[in-house]
Amino acid sequence: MRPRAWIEPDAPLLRRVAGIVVVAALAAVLVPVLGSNYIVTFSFQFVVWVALALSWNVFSGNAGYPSFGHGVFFGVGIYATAAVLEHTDAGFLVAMLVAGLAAGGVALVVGLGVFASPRFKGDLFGLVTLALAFVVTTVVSNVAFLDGGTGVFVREHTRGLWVGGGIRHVFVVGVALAALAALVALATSRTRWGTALRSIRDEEAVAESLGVPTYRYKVLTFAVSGALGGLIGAPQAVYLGYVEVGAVFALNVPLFVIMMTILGGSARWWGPAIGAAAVVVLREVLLGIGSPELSQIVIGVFLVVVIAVLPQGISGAFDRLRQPGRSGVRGASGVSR
Amino acid sequence: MDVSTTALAQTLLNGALLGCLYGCIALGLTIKWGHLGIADFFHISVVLLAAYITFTLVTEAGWHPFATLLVTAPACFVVGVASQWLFTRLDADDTTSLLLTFGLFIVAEGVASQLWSADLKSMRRDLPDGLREAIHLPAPLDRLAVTPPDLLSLVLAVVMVGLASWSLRFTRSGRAVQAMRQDQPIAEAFGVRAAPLALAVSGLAALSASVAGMAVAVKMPLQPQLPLHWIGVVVVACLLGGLGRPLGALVAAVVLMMLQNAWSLWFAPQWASAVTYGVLVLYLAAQPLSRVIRERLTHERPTRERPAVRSLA
Repeated sequence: MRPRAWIEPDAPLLRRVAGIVVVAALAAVLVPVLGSNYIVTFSFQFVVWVALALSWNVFSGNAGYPSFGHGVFFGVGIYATAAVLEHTDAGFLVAMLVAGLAAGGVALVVGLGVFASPRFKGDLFGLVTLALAFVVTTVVSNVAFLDGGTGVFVREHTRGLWVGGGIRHVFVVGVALAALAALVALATSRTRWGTALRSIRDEEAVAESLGVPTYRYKVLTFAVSGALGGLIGAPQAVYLGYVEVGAVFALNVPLFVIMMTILGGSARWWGPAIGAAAVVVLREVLLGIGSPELSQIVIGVFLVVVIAVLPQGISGAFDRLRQPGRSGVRGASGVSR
Repeated sequence: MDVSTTALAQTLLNGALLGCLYGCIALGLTIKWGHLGIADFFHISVVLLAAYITFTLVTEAGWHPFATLLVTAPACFVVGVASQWLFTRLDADDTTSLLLTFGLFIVAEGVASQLWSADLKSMRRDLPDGLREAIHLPAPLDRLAVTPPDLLSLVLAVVMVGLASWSLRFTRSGRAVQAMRQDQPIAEAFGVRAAPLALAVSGLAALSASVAGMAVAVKMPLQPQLPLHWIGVVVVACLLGGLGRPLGALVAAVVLMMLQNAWSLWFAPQWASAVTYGVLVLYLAAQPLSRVIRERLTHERPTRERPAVRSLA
């Protein structure tokens, strides 16, 4: 029997790839040239969240394993970048690669352990990844090489570098990484890889019995998702200028990412990007309130309301509008478009 | 470093008693998680909110801490029933309900800092004398002492965990809860009324939060971020003790806290909180090993007997 091609090339796929590349290239050129500092800063935060939400969805959304650990991968990326810039003469690209590898490595190790037991799915998987956040926080805040409790001034080490030359340069890196995340997200919606992941989400035992190597898929995809989260941590470290444990590993990060994906819906690969837009705007509005406690309450209530009112997210509602009578594509079809 | 036997014994004793407090907090969580399938972080927040209400009633209205249960227990019961109603109403799966409880968790933290501010709140000065002076243990162990709040945690843990374990095992409703956990449709076919039972279990679990909250308020200064510090120990205790087993969670919490306290005698105390996670990591690292062993075992005995009710499903 002839093995099926891993990617089935088709015209729409190529068109979408070209679309992502063109949009990213336009954004990388037009926003820094035309936008004010405020616009570029806002756009940078937007692309960071888009990249985080898309990369979270690559594993957690597709395979149905909600991870609370995405903030950890992001944070590991930030700290790896800070450590490389602080302790070596290597450039930003090397730091970024190390960030991706470090976060991917953490995800790989965790995945190897967690996915070995069929018990760790659903809420248990969520909790284990949450515990990961506490473990990594303790390690980073106690190891002097990384932080040791004092924080790291990344700003001092990026002065001579191209990426240290202002928010516009950081934004270009951010856009490139968001495009990379979008391409991976697109890949998971159109290839056997994605179909395998969705078969795990729909009925893992059946998928396994039909010959899908679920363990391998889960471990590797989790690592890819974590590596993407780590990569996007690199420009974030430069953007922040000063990194410290409390802010970097705050639980807000995974919560926002999950909220974005729920709000946008994971039925379509671009759903999380829509959700990211909505949440970034909400955050900006809440900053105007001036009371962190109050905005925390609003965000929590917003999360509960979103789950209650829009279980399939905006992209799911979009499907329902286009095809009345069908309840979204989340069902057993195993295909997302 | 040399550590005297007395210091070690006192440290272990303190750890065990602190573990009892965590066991009280974990009780409701492990019940809801194991039997209702909801990993309810919000439960930990309810403990803190109950502690804050206790604090207010004791410091502002001059109530005895025990009397505050008259207010907090019914209030928590209602909160527990209401949250379960919400989960049932939304027909939430594991993941969704975890997210919901997380949403409620951060709302509760915001509410606590809004109402009681982010400062430490201690009601030590307002406690009755009987709850303040340390008690020395009788003769052969007279160099060891316990504080009344710790003793209170011990008594409450033994009573609540004992009651919960006993009623799960020996009462009709308790057995109905267990049946519901094994297979809800079959249990319902045998006459278990799942919906009201789940509401009642959730309410009782939240009621245990009011008692735990009172013990917390008596023992330590309150602060809105406390649940974030508890969550690790409590969740790991629930996992290690076996979900839905109150006694398991209590024992695990006691062991964890004794380990953690003993650790800080010899090693840097800022790493102490890593002990809990270290235990969890070891537990996880053992999973691939146990997977291999399990697969070997199932290969050798392909017709392993399974509980009848499972194979029916």
